[in-house]
Amino acid sequence: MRAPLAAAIAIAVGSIVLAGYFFPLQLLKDVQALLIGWGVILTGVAALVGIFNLVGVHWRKMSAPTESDVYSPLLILAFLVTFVAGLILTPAGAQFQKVVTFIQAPVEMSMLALLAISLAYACLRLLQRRKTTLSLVFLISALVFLIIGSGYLSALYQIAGLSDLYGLLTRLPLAGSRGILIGIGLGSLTAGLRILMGFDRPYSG
Amino acid sequence: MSELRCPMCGNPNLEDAQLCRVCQAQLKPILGAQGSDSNGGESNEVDWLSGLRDGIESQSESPAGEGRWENDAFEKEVPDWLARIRQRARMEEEANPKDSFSTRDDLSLTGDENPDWLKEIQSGSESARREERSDAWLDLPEGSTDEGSKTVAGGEDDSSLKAAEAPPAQGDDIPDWLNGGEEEQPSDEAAGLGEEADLPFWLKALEGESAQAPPGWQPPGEQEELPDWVHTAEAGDREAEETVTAREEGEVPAWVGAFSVAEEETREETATDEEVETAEMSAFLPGETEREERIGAPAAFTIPIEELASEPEADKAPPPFVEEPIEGEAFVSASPFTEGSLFEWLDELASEPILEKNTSGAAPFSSEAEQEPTPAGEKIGYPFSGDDLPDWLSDVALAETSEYPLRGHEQPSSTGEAELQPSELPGWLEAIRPLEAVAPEAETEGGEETVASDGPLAGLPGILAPLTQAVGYSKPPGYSARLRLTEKQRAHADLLEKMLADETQPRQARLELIKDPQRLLRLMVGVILIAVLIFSASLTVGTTGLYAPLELFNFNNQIEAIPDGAPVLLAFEYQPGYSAEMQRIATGMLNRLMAKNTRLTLVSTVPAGPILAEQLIVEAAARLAREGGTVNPGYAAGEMIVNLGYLPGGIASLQEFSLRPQQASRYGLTSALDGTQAWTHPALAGVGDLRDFSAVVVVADSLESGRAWLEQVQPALGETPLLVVASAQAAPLLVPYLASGQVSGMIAGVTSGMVYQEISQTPLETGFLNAYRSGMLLAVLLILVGIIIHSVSLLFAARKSSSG
Repeated sequence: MRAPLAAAIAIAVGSIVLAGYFFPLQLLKDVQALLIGWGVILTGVAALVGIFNLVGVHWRKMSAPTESDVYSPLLILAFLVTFVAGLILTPAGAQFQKVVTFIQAPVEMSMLALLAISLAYACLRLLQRRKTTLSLVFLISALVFLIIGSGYLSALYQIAGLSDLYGLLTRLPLAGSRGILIGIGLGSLTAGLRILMGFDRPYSG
Repeated sequence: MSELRCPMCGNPNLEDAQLCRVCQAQLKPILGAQGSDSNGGESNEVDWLSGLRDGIESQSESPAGEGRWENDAFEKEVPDWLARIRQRARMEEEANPKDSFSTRDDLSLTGDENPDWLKEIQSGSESARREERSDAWLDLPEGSTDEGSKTVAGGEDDSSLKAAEAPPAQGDDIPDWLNGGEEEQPSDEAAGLGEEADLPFWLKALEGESAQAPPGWQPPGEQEELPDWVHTAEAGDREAEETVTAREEGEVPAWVGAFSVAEEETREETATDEEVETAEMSAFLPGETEREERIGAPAAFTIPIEELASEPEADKAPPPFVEEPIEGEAFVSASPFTEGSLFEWLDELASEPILEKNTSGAAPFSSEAEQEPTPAGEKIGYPFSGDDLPDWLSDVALAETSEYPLRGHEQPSSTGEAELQPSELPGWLEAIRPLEAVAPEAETEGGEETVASDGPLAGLPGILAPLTQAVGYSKPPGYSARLRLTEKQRAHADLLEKMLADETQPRQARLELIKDPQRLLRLMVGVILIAVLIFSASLTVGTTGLYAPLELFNFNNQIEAIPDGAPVLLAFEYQPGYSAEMQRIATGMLNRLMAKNTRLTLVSTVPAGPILAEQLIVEAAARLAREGGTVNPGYAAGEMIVNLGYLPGGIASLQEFSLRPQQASRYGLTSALDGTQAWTHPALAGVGDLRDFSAVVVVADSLESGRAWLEQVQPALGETPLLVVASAQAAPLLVPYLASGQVSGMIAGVTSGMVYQEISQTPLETGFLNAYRSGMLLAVLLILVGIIIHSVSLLFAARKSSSG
């Protein structure tokens, strides 16, 4: 058995945290809260480790003798500027918040805007790329829900006889989303049980 | 000085020498002395040779099939001593043509080298003829197949029978034991059995008579080569060497095995002499010596006679002197060993007539006393005994006369007693026995008798059958590599070949639309979309004209249920990229909370969440201040709003935050600036737990973020309602939590946000709503255009295929 000590610790911690949900014991809740607090701290440290690892990777790419990545210096430079500005100005500073509001947010929104244009172009050529039944079904469903989402058909809700149809169409995503959520719940439950039982040991490396 | 050649080994010796200096053989035959002393004189000697020859001829003149077989056997069974002599003769002839002494000369004992016994019977001028004719008897077996032989064998069985039954003539010194084979004499001669009639023509010539050679007879001097029977015998010897050796070693009959011990002893005793003699003979006749070694048998020929004479008890074999004529007769004997009787060949040679003669008359070369009639079945005395024998042989002969008589003489005895067992065959005789004596037994053991059909052994029965095994290894059948295909198979093969050929051919690359039109089309789509959005955003409308869903009404009711000044927890869980949408959705809710002068606590598990929350609050306050409305002018954002910042750890942090919010978010976003604790901020006055908040509003742009709050925090809220402001992409997935009651109210997407603004009587951003709806309508149009283009292309393709 690989890493028996790590497996024992993981199983014990998981069992205690899980027991904290079902048994309203104060001691158990205190232990649960303590363990979760340790976990949050470790997660923050892991985030720092990940940041330094990212910088190291791009540093190696930048310093590679051949085929050096030209974007790596930009990333490292942006990281250093942001890190130093954050240390100096603090995240609550109005000047430092502009890094997010005037750089990060517009960049990300531009990406989504391009995505909107690409999706519109894909809708135009979807049948030319894939001439299948599912492609046609997808296009029809997208067409219907785009119209519903735009609100132009909301007036149908007020028409007798069509309100049920409109309500049916608006409830269709609910069925699908429930299925997705049930699947997610079962998957999470299974993964948690396997980890508690020691079948899965992602911590063992 | 004349020299005398040894009749056995052929080495020259002094003229007065009695024994050969090499092989110790008697140089001067006993017959010479005996002949002079015997009654018959020279006739005795002649008769003896005649009888010997007659015996040979009688064997050769046996019935047709048998006689043929005998001749073959005779040709095969060339004795080594004879082959050696002939080979030496050839060598001498080659070395000294003038001195054309041959083996036959030695045997005939003519000329200067003639022994005394022959010199005495020589009649002067007949020496040359005697040489030839004395040698002719050796050729007779060969001549048995030719015309001369036929002439001699005119009487055949009848003559031999008559010769055997005829009483010996007066003064006839032909030994009776040899006279039995006198079959080659003509019938008329055999009937008379006169002295001269018994003599062969060559002996007659010796006596001065004008004997005429048979038509087939050829003088030895004229023969350039050895007789065929010699070659055949040599060839047979060579071919049968291994077989004979193997059979002698592994399949020696019982009657032979009894002699093995005595033979070994004899060989050991004569080893030294054999080596000397063999060395000399090897130098002189290397080929012959080699043959002897291969055969491994004729050691008896090399045994010195003195040793034989001195050790008769151990050897128990007749002396070589007797051995040679017997051997010579064995060539023509009819398979002497095939019937299990050792001396059948001797029986056929001498058989009853000899016995009768011996019993009735005197031995040809014996004294008067020894010529007394011998009772039947009594051991016959040695033919060369008594005074007729030389000194060197007398001891041996006398010793053997009583104990080792010729076995052939015993067999025809009436009593049949004292028959020698076949196992008593001496080693020397075993070595020289004909192959047929053994081969048929081996063959009969195998159940088959193979007769050679071709090759040097053609016609010989009883040969090994190597082909019987070779037949088993037949040549492997040859399989043609060419396939035999039917027409159908060939058609399929052609089709498969064509298919493979098509596969191997590089496909013609489809002509893709060049990138410029694609880029142009994509650019056109982008330009059209942007143009429509800009145009629609510029339009202003009074109302949205949208229907408010139930969850939106519930959300509005929960917000209105919040008391004024009550603490409200706002969780901003969206990325900066979705900030534009989320701001439009959440602005109406924030304006309403500010209008109700609620204390807002901001928190986020997204690193940029706290900053986005700050920005959203600022923009919402500014927008309300700019556009008027129900904004509370006395709302102090610094005192009424506290930002707890970022909760590291994702879902785990939410779990901790739900359990111990003060420990989870101990420091606020502004703590680094003002140095104050977050939970000491006035906005959190009276709040120690999440249950103390009047409402928890989660602004989420994704399912994960909204689900984490619903699953980790909502159970810890108690009676505190949890409201969700979700983006258009997250709203459908969070609707189930709304139906389950975990979510008290929800604003789902931009349209719902606009509706809520309209419901909450906050300034309506109609331009954004128009752009949003125009953009979605444009997407619908693009999809329809794509469907139409595809349908038209399919229609044209179908028509093209139908027409083509």
